[in-house]
Amino acid sequence: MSTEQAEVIIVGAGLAGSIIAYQLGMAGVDVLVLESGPEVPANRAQYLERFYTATLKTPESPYPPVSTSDSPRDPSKENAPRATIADLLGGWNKPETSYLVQKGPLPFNSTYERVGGGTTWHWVGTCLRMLPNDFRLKSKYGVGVDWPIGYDDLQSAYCRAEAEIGVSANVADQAYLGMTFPEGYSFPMHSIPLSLVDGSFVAAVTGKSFDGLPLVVSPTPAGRNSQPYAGRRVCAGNTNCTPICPIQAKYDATVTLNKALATGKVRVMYRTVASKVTVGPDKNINGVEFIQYQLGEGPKTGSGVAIGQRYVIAAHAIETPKLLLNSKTPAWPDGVANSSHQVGCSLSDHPIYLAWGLMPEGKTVFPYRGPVSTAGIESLRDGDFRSQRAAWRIEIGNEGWNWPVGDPYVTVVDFIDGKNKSFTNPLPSKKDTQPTEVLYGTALIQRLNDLFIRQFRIGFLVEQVEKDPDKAKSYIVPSTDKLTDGLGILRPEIHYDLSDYTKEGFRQAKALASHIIRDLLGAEELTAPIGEGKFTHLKEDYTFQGAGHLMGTYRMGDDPTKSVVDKYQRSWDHKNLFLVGDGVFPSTGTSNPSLTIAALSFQAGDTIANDLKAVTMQVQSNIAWQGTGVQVNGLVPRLVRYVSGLWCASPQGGNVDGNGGSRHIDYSSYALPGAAEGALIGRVGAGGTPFLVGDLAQVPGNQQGELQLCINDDLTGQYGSGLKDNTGALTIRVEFGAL
Amino acid sequence: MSSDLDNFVGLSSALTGIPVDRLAPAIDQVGLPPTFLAFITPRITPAVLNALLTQYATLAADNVPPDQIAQAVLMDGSHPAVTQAARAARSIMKLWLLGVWYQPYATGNYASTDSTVVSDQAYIQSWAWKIAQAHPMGYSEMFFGYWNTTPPSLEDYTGVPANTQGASS
Repeated sequence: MSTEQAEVIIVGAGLAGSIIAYQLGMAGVDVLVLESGPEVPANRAQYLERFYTATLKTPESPYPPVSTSDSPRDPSKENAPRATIADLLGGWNKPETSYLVQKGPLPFNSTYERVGGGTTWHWVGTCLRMLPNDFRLKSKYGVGVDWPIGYDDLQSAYCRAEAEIGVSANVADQAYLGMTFPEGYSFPMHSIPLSLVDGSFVAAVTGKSFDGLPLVVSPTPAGRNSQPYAGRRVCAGNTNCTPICPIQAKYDATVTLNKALATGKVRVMYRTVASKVTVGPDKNINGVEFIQYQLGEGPKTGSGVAIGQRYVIAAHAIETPKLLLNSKTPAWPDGVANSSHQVGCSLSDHPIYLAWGLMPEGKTVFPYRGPVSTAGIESLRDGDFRSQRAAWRIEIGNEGWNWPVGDPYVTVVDFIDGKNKSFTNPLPSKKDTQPTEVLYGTALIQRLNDLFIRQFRIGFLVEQVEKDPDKAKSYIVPSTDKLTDGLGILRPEIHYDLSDYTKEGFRQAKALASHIIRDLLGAEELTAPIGEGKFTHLKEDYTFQGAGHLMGTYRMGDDPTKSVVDKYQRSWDHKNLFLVGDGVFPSTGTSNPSLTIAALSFQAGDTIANDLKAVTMQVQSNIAWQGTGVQVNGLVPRLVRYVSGLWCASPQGGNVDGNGGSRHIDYSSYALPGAAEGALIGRVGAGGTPFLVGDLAQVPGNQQGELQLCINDDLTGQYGSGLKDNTGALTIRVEFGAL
Repeated sequence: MSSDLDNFVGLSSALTGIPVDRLAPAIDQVGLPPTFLAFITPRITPAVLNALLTQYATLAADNVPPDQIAQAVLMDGSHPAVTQAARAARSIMKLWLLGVWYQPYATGNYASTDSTVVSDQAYIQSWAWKIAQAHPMGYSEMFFGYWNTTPPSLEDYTGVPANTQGASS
């Protein structure tokens, strides 16, 4: 049993954990990260090799532990198992081979990774912001749950997330459905060019509408380099964002994790599984117990407790509630952070309606080229229809029928063996006139070519909304059958269902998919039921796929009885505990969640850094530039906030706060000529350009040095008594954060 | 007199339609043909392999056109032949196109349900992607933005001209 100490303990080295670790490291805070999976490899060659040689090329195929369909795993023997597509193929409700213990009625078919860098290893890179109305679903449309924050509260955090991830997009393409950007803002990199598949959709849908709303194809903002960025290469269009970008042109959280380590303040313990969060008599968290292993199915090699002043659980919407609920004690019989009984509840995904087709003969789109997706139809993400049915966004795929059919494999085998699993041998439209063929030689090549270069698919990411969000039908609890992993930790038991509101979103998705494919593109639709995610709605059958978006099991809110964390992602029950990641989403909107996870993580990082390292001090009125002791650089945004007190710069001006008085004097001997007399002024370094603080300001990011503060007055006494007759002082706080 | 390797490449070309000099370039930096031949020999058995190569060599020596050789190996009238040789030949076609060896029948320790990606290069060099005028997912030698323009022709990628109703490039 070992004891590890740091100022902040973070569980999980994925996107949220890495960003917070980096922010805290930059703030000078000692951080220990506990990561259940293995370390980040020195290079990605081994992961890539495993992908190349995997017969089953699932999103998880490059990563440990190995997941294949031919030799199913035994999750009760694995030390850090995770949900995989191979598990689903082997039988979603078979806990002997599926890590998730699935109780239905529907399968939860999204997956994740447990490795350093987390699931961003296999994300597509989509960096859509949430829409303003996504944050007020309840008040605007009468369904779901409102967020305790709005779009504007996330504006600067979105910008920081876009800078950290490195997002390629153009503001003009993204300012739709109420989304705004700071004046003069531009994304870190220009937009990624559309694919030929996208181009055919632009031509087909432009000027058309659905349900009274326009159909508009938008380039997708992507965490994928369109220019060299942060020392990483430009996208070469490997069409492999999921499962693995071979050249790291796509951001993943190892980028930020490495920066965190480079601060010298952050330490990561790998193969270290948090097993229990413990609570002290003062209701504060006083430790995270962990178990260690070396080999994926080997014995325990150690155990211990990590102790800090603040605790962050960044293990996403399944592993985080699993940990909290596995931490029950007689004093905390409902688990940690769970006085609301909402921990584990409202497990959400963006269940996907997948549709595909073949362009008309002679019309080529050349898929299997470019990033996996470069555009989508985003114009239907919001509208009055949301009072009646779920919204969705439409992702246009560049990877042909790889996802829906398993191509090129399935079609190749069909024409060699004379089978028809792909429904192209013959096509439905030709099944009365053309037999199933067996081809070889140049005829085989020509037929396959003719089919491949006309393939396309679209995916509708449907918003999942509970009928009664306070009595959610989808939730995760520790296994009630007492099924454990290799370390003896109770595994996640999943209960999953879709509401009629969500299902109605599928009905409309299906209608639009067929309209686009058949009427607007003039293509042949081949959409067919695939997978085990099946439901019937209004007498029609549907299948749904997983998006890999695990959201909503420890939501934020204003009401401690109905939410798990406050708007700062701080536990209502334990003031030194933060729960981060998309588990905090009260509602999911339709945007892929990673960018919002990153933005919220920046905010949580600020809050924790301020808990520990904010500087509160007095600024005297009768002393010129006063050092704060705070070293500023462009990498860590800092705020100066007026807290209390009054001061006086002149009898005429009287007692004023940080905003100063009504007199504006333009003498050059003033700290900031032209600003209000008596205002709080800052500068970075003795030679820095003074800036107005007032009652709140962000320190300019383009200078380095010590932050200095001063009253706006005649500093040298050139025009009178200068500072000598000044009285009073202001209490100010130098914080972490951005405006 | 041709070697087994030459006959294997010739047979592969007749079956898949891809020219011999594309399957086995004069300067071959990857060298898949000997890898594939060595890989399949125990899996289809030397006897079946020899029968296939002999059949190919005999027909090729008589200047039988490649498509007719493929037909003789693969077909039983208008249906796929069910002989071990024909099933082995179909697996050889899939191997070239997909880089995956689908065990055609049970023999020795090999079960008919086995499937294996022979090597990273078998995947990277597999022809289905070239037939799509694209690249293997996860292995692009192209440059940023290429996806916004029409690719080179099927003939450039495979040596096989496109069907006249097919590609526009």
